[in-house]
Amino acid sequence: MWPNIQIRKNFIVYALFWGMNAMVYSMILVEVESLGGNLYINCIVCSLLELASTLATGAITKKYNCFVLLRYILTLVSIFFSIFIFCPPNLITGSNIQVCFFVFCLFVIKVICNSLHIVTYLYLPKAFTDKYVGFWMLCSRFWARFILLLVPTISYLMRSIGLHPFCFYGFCWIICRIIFRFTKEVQSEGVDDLLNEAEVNDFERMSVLTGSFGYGAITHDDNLVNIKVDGVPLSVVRKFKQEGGSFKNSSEFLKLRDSVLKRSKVTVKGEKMSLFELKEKFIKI
Amino acid sequence: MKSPLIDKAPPKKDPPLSLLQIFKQKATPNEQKIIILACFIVAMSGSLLLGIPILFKDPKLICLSENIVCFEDTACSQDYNIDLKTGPKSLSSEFGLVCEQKQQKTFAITMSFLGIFLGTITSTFILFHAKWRQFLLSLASLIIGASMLGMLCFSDNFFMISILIFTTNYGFVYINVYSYLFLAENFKGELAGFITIMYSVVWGIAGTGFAIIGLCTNANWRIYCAINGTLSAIGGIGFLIVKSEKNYDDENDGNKEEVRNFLKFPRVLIFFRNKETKLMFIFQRYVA
Repeated sequence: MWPNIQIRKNFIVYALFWGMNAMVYSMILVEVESLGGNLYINCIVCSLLELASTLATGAITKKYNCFVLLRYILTLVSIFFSIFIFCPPNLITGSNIQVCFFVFCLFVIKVICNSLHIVTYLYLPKAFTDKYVGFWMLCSRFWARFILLLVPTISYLMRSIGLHPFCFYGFCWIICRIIFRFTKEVQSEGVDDLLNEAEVNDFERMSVLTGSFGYGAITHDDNLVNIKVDGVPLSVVRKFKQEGGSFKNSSEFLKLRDSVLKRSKVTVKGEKMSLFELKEKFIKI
Repeated sequence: MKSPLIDKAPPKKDPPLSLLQIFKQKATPNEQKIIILACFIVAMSGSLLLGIPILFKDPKLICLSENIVCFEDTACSQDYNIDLKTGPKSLSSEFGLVCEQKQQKTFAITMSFLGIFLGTITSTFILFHAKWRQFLLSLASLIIGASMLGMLCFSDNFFMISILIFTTNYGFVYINVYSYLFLAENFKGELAGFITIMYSVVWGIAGTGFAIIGLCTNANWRIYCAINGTLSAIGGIGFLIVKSEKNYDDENDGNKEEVRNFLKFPRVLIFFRNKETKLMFIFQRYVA
């Protein structure tokens, strides 16, 4: 159930990230008021970024490995947030640079959030995700929501000691990036490759990436079942590819074989039928 | 393992459909109604969270010693007045949430996040009951509507307003979680992907719309709450009337099983049954 220590490390690190990510995302929404520029334009940008980040995650993860992507994005965010630690507040407060910075951060954080959900499923072995994904999601959800309670207080306390609230998050992101060093790519093959191989279109892909991964309550197979490759649910194909040797005589293997047989047409005595029908006839005879 | 038959018959790829084509071709008229209403209540639910900066927009302060507009830092050290005529008509302006009173604003925002936290916990425990999902979505939307309109009734009591902000965000979490569950149960493949994108689109449109309302009304929180509350209530009633085509009595419902698996651990916390206690022991030994 818990194959190696690396899985356990990844489990803890991803849970930490999720909470951290939720905290910074909510903090940016709360802090929109204290940004430079026009409040209303900032609000509009914040709400539209939701869509942009969802689409961007779909497009980016189609081309790049999520795990590597997450690593680079985290480095980038750590560097950006560090500006708030090392720069005097007067230099950055209320300027247009700050607005651009916030918009960029919000976008990146949403992309991280989406990527994190995907990475969670891709790089935790199936046995682990099947049994524990519900629990993992539950812990992360509670932790992420609980940490939100601290956001207004942190902002208030940081301002009361004359520091920008982002200084706190800067430190947190750097710590997160350091912790991320302890995670490793446990499994190389995942939904990404399968989706590419299965040639699913962008909408189906979006359904898997965001519908399934975004809100925790549904496990990945739930949506993969809905996507069929050669008439066989993608979940079966995935399992078939990952654990090919163990599928002999199993129901999934037979299902996949039957699907192939159904798709292959032959003509017998002028009558066109699938190999499956031919097999059925043969058995009856 | 690779069968030669797989290579013999490559699948034909259908040309990709546009968003509108997917909506028209893949959904039945009843499903179209459900999709529109689901998107509508999702859009309305998030507008308080996105609207917090507008509802709590900083007031226009006038320093009485020089009778000029001044910043909060300057105003707090002397006598000041809040300009409600030309300045923003936000909650911060009306209740004077500046200087020492600013803690009340922190309290209200904390209450909104407390609503999200408690909503997450309680929504998880009711998650299993798939039959209630549509009803709960409607109810959550009605709670949001009632809370927003209730804020107008208690417009002189900031504590009550904070409580209603709490209930609004409590309802928001239900919509946030159940809208995706409802989507996964009722719609498949391309249509599910389309709705996922539409949730983000309508979220963006609603945020933009309410920002424009804030701009046009000079951040008037009463108008903001009245519009948002009324639309949420209408969405909730509409969603209650439209009937889903999903038959929840189907025992072969895969998602039901997934949700049941998902809820194994919350039940551990309540019942401590033997099987789950064993799993909890594993968790404690290897993770905690």
